[in-house]
Amino acid sequence: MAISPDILEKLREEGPAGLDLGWLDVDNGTGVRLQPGRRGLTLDEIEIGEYGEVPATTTNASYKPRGAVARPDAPRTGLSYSDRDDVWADNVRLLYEEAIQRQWSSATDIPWETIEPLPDDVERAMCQMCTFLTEVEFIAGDAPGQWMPKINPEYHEVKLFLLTQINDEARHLDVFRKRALANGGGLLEESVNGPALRVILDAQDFTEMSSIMHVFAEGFVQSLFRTGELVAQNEAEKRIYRLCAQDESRHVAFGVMHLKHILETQPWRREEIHHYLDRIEVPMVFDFNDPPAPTSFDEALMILAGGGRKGVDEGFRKLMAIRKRQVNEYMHRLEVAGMGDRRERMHPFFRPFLDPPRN
Amino acid sequence: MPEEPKSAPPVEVPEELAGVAQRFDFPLDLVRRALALGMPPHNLASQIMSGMRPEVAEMFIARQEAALRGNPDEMQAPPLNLGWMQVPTEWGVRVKPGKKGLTLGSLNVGTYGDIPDRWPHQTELPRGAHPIPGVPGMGYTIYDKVELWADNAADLYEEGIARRWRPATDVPWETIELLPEELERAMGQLCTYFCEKALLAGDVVGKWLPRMSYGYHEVKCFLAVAEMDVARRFEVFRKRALYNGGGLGLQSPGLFHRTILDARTWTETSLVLHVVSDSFLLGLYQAGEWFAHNPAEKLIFRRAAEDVSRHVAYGLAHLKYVLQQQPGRRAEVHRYLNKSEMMMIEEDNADNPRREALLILLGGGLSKAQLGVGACRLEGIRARQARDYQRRLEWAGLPERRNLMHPTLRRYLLESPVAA
Amino acid sequence: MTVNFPSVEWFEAVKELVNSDETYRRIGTCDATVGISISDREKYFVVTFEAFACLGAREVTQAEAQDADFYLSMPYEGWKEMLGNIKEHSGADLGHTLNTLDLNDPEGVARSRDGYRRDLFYRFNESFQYFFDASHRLDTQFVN
Repeated sequence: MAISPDILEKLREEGPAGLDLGWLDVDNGTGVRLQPGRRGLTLDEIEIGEYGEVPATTTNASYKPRGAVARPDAPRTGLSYSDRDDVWADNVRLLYEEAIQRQWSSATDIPWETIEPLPDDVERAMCQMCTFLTEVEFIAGDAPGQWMPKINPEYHEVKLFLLTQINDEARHLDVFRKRALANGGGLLEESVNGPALRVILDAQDFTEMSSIMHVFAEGFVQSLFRTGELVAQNEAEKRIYRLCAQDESRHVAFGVMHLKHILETQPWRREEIHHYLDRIEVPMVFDFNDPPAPTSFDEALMILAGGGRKGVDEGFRKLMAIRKRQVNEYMHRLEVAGMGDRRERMHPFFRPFLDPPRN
Repeated sequence: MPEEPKSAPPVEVPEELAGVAQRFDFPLDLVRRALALGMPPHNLASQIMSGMRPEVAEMFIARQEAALRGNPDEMQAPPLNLGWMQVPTEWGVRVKPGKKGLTLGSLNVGTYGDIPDRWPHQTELPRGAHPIPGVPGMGYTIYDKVELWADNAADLYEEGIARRWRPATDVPWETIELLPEELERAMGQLCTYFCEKALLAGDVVGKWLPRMSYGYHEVKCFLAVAEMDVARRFEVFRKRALYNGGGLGLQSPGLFHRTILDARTWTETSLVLHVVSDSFLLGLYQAGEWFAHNPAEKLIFRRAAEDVSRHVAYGLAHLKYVLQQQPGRRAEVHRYLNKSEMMMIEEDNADNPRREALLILLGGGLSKAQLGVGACRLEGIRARQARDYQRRLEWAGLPERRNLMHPTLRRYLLESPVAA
Repeated sequence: MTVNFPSVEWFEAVKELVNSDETYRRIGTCDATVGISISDREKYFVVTFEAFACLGAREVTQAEAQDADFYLSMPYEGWKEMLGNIKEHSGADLGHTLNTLDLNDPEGVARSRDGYRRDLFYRFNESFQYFFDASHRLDTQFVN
């Protein structure tokens, strides 16, 4: 219901100098009073009517929020994706709200006091693993940051979700650094694998970035976190891996549903996406002149899984089991996304780990 | 040509690949086994031509075949290097949780607390870890501490985590009753502005994060939490705007947005975004808490003010650090402030909807008398904003800004500085 | 429990309330020294907040109160009105929150010579509001 034009006119004449009040003539409301739902007042509750209509394409090149009234003189603020399908995922609102609800503090939510001195080889292995994780986790913070300006404000849900991911990754960087320095150890060696993840930052397309980062890389890390409890030596470590896995699961979930959305709305991009996955599935390091040796991370994991250096054979078997789980969960996610054909095209390094397809 | 062993699996080798194997003296047996594992022929040919040694290929293929068979007896760990166990990093560190738990800042002990003036590594090497040669760079562009440091970054990071809140469930939304039409519209207009500011901040910080090298993880972590803060601010103000069915208003003129976006260094960006823009935004949140119509709005503005005041704190501490380390940049900083203040005021003057929305909210309605009261109160808010801004700059080491401030702001400053 | 205001005992009593209150803890860490100035009664205090708890209060000189991170300065009647409102409504109503009172006063209620430290009033505002709101559980006797 608009404000009475007579009142507005009178105010313009008699009110404080320079009054315009023209914006009050615009009735941009839904007229619907909202109610919090079972999860409180979530984005799903508020995005109704025109506000909830996520445009398939947009010419908005400013910071106008979706549903606000445009000004003809507003300057452009840079180019961004103008098509919803290029960035969208159907679960993005849910994931954002979940991220807000499930924040945790590495300072106070981890029972650090449960960490007791460990045998030297085990502590070193844990510290090496933490060195690797504190190193690589923030690639997944830098990458979304890089893409923030390219997501149009009309698709603010995607921006909001990526902002939560940046926060999650900082927390991971932080918690693994804390673990490395909490039990008489320290940081160890830089990873030789980590920089291979630079391909994430090299991505020239949002879907390319998401496929590589969310679906592949974070998928592998999420599987690792989930099995991290296997190698956890105390309640603190179990909690760290559990909470990190929880965070990572959201990122993976976004990636899978975004990929699904792309394949449903832009099916001609299937081969393109296979190409991106080809690139990331190539082994992280391959030096033709040296035998393919395990990385420091792999060795650390073998020691942890085997309960110490003496148990490395058992640790190796468990590492292979972890790899198998990682590869199969990756394949399952691709199937959910609609890329079941990846099974035949997966890199030979991973294919031996694949279980037979489910019928 | 090497002799074919009798146990070679029956896989057909394409002629071209066979030719490559022969030329490079690569056993056909290995070629067949690699193909059986699913290696694409062109891929295999390329690796043979690149000089892959047969014994290397044998080790790899054997491991893959063992994995395929899944026979635990065959799974023996390869020879381990374990050199990483003996790298010369500081060992024996045992940081204990304090009253605020195990905080990021408390990890800065010994060499882990050596924060160099210039970070020499282009990789993601964590500070204190041992670098290995040959690791490719990550493309950072900020390696000097003075370009981003603030002494309070680690503390602000933990504070941001500790003081998290959840708009969906922490805000007592049910306490929001229907407001008179003009108040609802005005609130929607103001919320629209707040949403825009949040979107902008998220993009700007996101753009700069990947440029910051890893040696200053405290700053990266703080900025990551700040990104969460802006997401929450966008969310909560959009929710408020839509809650009563009033809707969003007009977008802002956007002039000041460009000033923030156009900044060419992180210091300039932080100055404009955190010290100028967020400082005045904080004043508006303060005003919002004042005219809030219900407990929900009170909480929204109070928590939003908390979040943005951390960003102001970072910006001020960074500015202070810059001026201490590079006093020669004082004139440069004033130039940035000159431009930002001017553009901010130009934006304020052009943004009639926001100004008028504030008049309505501060005055409590649309009558002539109420608008008059609103105008007086707005002047009071602006005075408070200008004085708080000046006092902040004084703390950061720019007391002379009092005399250089844009005249529109300077007129609000008290003659002599007194406590608040 | 009846406690006189203003007094160290009063602030200590509120301290006990918030320190045993999980909701206060959940708001998050709070690190600030807050001066309390009731200059027309020449009563000054400093209340210290650290991490998840209020550490306590002590009576101080005016200068010491003004040296805190920031100090809350109101005349006695102002304090009485605020705390009476809190008691009546089990928490400050819309017109009596700390921030509102601060803006109502042209010189501000939250004061500091230090523009950075004064911002702690904003950074931990919810915690301070909760602290004073908790006093509704006390039986405050205003000392005339």
